[in-house]
Amino acid sequence: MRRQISEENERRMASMTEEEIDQERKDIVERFGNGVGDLLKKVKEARERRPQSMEGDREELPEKSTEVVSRNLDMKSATDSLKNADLIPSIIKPNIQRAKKPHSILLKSSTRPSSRTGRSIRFAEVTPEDVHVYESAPASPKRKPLALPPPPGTSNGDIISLSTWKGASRMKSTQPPSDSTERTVSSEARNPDMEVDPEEGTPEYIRRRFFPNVPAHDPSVAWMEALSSNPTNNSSTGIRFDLTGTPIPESMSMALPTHLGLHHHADGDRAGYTLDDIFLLSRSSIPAQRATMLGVLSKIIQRLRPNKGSKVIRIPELQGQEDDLRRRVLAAGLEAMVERGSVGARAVEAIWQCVVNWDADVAGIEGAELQSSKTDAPSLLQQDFFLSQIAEAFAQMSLPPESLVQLLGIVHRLAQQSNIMAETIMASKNLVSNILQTFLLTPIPPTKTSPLPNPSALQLLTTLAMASRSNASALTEPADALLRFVTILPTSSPFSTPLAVSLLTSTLRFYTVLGSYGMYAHIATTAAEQFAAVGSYVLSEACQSESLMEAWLGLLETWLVCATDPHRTTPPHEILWSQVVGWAWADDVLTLRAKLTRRESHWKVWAGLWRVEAAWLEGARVNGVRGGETERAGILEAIGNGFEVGSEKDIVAGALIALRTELDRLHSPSLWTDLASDVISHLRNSDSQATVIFSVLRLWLACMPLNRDTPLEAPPFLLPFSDLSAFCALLVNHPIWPHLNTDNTIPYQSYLRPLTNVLYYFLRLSRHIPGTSPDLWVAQAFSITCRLLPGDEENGLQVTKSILAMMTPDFFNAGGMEVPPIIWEKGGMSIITPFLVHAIRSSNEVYVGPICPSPQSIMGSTTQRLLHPTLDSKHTLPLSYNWIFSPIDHLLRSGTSPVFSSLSSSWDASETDVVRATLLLTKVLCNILLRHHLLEFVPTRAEIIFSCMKIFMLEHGQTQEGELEEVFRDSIVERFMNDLLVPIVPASSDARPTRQPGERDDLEKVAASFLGSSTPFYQFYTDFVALYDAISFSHPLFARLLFPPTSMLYPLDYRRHLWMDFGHLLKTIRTPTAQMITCNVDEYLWPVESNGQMLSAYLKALVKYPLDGFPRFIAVHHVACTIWPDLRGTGENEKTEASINMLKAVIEQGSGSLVKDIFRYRQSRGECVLLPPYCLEQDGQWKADRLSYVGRALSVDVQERMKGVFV
Amino acid sequence: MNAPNRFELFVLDDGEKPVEVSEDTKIPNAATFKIMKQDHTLGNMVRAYVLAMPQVLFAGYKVPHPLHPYFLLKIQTDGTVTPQVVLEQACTKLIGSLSTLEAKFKREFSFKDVEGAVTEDPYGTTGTSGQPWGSGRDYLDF
Repeated sequence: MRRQISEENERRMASMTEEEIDQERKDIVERFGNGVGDLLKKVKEARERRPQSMEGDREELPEKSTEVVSRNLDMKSATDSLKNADLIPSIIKPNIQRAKKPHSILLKSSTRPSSRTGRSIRFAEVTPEDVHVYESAPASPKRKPLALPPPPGTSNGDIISLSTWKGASRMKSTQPPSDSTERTVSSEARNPDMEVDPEEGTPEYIRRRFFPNVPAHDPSVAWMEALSSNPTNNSSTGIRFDLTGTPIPESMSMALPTHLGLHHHADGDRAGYTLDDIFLLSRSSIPAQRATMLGVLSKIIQRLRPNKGSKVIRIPELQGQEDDLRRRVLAAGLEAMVERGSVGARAVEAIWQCVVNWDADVAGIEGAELQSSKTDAPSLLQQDFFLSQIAEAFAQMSLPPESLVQLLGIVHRLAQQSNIMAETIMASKNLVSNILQTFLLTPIPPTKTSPLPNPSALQLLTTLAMASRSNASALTEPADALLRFVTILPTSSPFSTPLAVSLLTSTLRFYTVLGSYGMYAHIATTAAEQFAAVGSYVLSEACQSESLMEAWLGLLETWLVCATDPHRTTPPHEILWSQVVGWAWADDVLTLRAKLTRRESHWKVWAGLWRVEAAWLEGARVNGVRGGETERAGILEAIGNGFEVGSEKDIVAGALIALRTELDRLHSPSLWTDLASDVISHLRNSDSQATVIFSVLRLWLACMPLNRDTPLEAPPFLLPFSDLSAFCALLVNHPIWPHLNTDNTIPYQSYLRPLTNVLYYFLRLSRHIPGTSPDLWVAQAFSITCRLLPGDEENGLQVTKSILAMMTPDFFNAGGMEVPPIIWEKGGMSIITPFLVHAIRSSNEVYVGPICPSPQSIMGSTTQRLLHPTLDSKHTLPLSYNWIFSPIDHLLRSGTSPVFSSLSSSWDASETDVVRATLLLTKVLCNILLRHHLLEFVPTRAEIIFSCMKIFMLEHGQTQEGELEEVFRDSIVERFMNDLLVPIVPASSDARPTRQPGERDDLEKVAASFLGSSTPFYQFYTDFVALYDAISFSHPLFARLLFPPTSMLYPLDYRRHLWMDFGHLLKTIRTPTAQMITCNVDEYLWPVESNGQMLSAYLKALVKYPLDGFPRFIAVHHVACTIWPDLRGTGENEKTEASINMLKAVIEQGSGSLVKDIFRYRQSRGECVLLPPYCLEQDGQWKADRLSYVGRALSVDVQERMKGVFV
Repeated sequence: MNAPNRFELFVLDDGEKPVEVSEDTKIPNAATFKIMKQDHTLGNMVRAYVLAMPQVLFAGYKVPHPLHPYFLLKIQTDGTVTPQVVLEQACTKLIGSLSTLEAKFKREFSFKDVEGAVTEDPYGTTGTSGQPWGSGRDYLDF
């Protein structure tokens, strides 16, 4: 090859003329400088010596650059034409070849000198040994095999290094784990003083001893060197864990001995494994390694688990990354779950830790969806795949029983996560049936090897049934099989008594949940004998389990409700009242009284007992003879004087006191900063006490004779009425309600459901207490309605309808309110009833079942759990405080309002009628609530203002002819609006007691709930102003409503819009200052406007229009405050350009009265605001100061001229 | 494709009255004028001129629907003159201003050819309009 080239070169040289050769030579010199000739000659000479003699020096210049190589490659074209043999640099030759064919260097090259005589070309005899290739150069994309010829023997300084070699940095520790044994050997030599005096045996020692010529830190032997002890390269994941998931402190990780097994599989030479190591190894192909690492992961997760309440952060280094880590571990576990043997078991454990054990404190909540956000870890699971894997795992039974139980726990937690997920679980093939087979349908009697049935599987079925109606109906099928736990009583059970009792309890609970959808009640008939046996067992002395008694009572209550109206069950007529009467459950239940004591653990049983009796009496009221009179008498007789002197009295009083204590503890605001665990525990405690209270209230109401709504002469039995009333007053104003109404506290809301029931039943009871005036009752009713939670819709509707029914002319006459008769002629409150009903229950698609099932709910309920509001189906409850205005919202959106499309044909009210009725209702409620100091429920200033704005926006005559009257021109509407606004006008005598300004006082926030997030309030405001501009005829109230958003509390844009874009409007506004809408005039005055454009707009309005009233006051204030140093406050520059310009403009352009006003205007911040004319009549030293200021700012002449304004 | 013909926006139908007045029954000295085949161009100008008159308490207009070529002008006066008279006066003034403007424009336009080389500030001002605190005499120069 080389010969070929040289021959070709020779041939070409021969054909060239002298000039051409000269030219080429010059080119070369030009390229490489003058020294190149010498250099090349030296190279040639050196080569002609025996190459072997230089071998020892070869390494001396390892940094002979790769640049040379590449340069040489560039020279290829030039050298092609070089034919002069003396000049051909042999150093180049091999590289040319290499460029053409990289491996040619490995071929046998010609060592034979040219046989030609005379003028001959000689090439260097480069043997493969002459070329050093750095085999250990790092594998990088820029890898260049280094081919360097041996340098000349004598280094005389002519050789210029073109650059230093940078290609190989120290090898990074990317070796596979198997290499690490070597490393650990060398790690012993970790002496920082190595450079000074290397220890024997270290690479440096060997080098110095045996290879003194080899440069230090030769990259090719970098692997031999000890790793530096400086842990800079892994500081990000610096924390290391041992095999129990405990973090190893930094100080110890260097010191731990290697025999603990903490060095073997990780990178680096420190003890323990970083998270990255663990995740890497959890994908190892060696099962034992993988299983161990999954075990470590699950232990880390266990450690990281958020522990609400304790402020200790378990692993401070990982603070903030918990969720991320949890997701990664979950992913690692899911990946390994399908493996057999211990890997699979450990993977299940890891998943279990991530999903179930992570938030164990909410896992006990059955009454709500637990998901807190869409990115919550359980929501991220690939459900279909994962569930089918679980189903398979149950079918194969290859996992150990503990893992199967953990899988059951995982499925249960997923079912709790959301209703959608619960439905997915039901729908996934074989999953539920496999669970049934594995955990419930075990052989009876159990053999030695067969597993025992597991009550938590029954718990799972209950959860699934609670999630949705369709789940429940699908689960009625396997429900028959569960009868096995009912038929075998714990006394005769082959299982141990606690297990048998627990199975029976769980089964009864499951039937109760089915019953709350009105399903599966027929089993009471079919298995009547068995249930009678259960009943007698529960009543017998043998049964001591409170939870069993409670479950039994709950089931009876539900079935009694089902029997009340046989058409409401699914399918109908599943259970009949006559059968229930025949079974005499009520009598059974009464005998249970004797067994119960006053112990706190029995409270919930008592509550269940009272509810069964209440349900019995409620059913008898419908189905019994003469409204169930005899049944009532029977129950009252049986109770006897228990509530006066007996244990019932003590229990009610005790529960009330305990509940009050719990709630008092929840009062402190510090608890609410983050949901501390003691909040949860207080709530959980309050649950059972509240259940006691509302159960007894319900029983009391059920014992009432038929003709209700009238105060009675004697109550059925005595309750601590005044205590109850005081407690409810406290509860309704308690801070838990707003605190638990955020998105991530929805699960905890289920603890509040008994409390809302307490409120509701108390409200019904309150109606019968002689001391309750209709006024007070309406106040209670309205405030309680605002507290109701999802599931209480039915109660809410009932309360709302009673409120509306009370709004009769008599009611208003009694309250001394004058109501125009036209309202009653048009139907009174009945015309807005559909809107208010819709505000409480907007659709039947989502119907959360109440705690106490009712005949309506067993038919309609679609789920028994509170839904998470981020899902598309949003709860209507709890109501927003301004729900009372909802009819106006529907009017504004009459095109899309679902209420309008479903109104009955007899409804024919006009918009004006609806607005009138709404305003009247609002007005009377405001008055009543204020009178009873329920300030929280009174609509705020912003809510009232915005509602009035909406009324003005009910625009007419957009397209059709024959102009209907605008709603706001209606005299009654106008009067009501003025009345509503009275408390927020400063001049009025009965200004409202000020409340803490909060979110509800911000117009933008209030408007957002109606306009939605996509429409800003500013847009609404521009429409509002434009409407004023077009049609208002300077309606005074309309004009007043223009101003609230222009106070200094709101952004500049509102002021700009009104004063600049629609400046011409100001001429038409003649609102007296005393009529402005505000709680506090300060809002308009301070801080003083600083925007130049706004100030000139104020001045322009003052100069151009005869401004009057409130706008004039505002404009004069801001202009005067800009001009006068005494109004601006201290500390600022006295003479500003703005002030001087403004002053000049006022004097030169303003009318006499304007100049006077500006000069005389006096206001001081922080004191009571002076309204005109008082702010123009003040006296003081400042007058002289102002005049002198004029003199300083403008000129003495002007000062003289202006003296007159103060006369 | 189903857009109304352009001319329908400004050509009166047969027998259509260009202006209709309806007096407001409840509000004193108030009237609503319906002006056919006109849009914001006229509405805004007339409104501005009506509003500039001292006897006027309120003047506003709206175009109820963008596809219906008419606007409603609402005027309320202080009672010294009727809204009709106010509107007439305002329209006279407006016509006057517009013809003055036209005359001025034509005059200036004819100068274009005569002294074409004169380069004037395209906005005709001294350049202070951009600064909020100019030193001119007019309030607009702030």
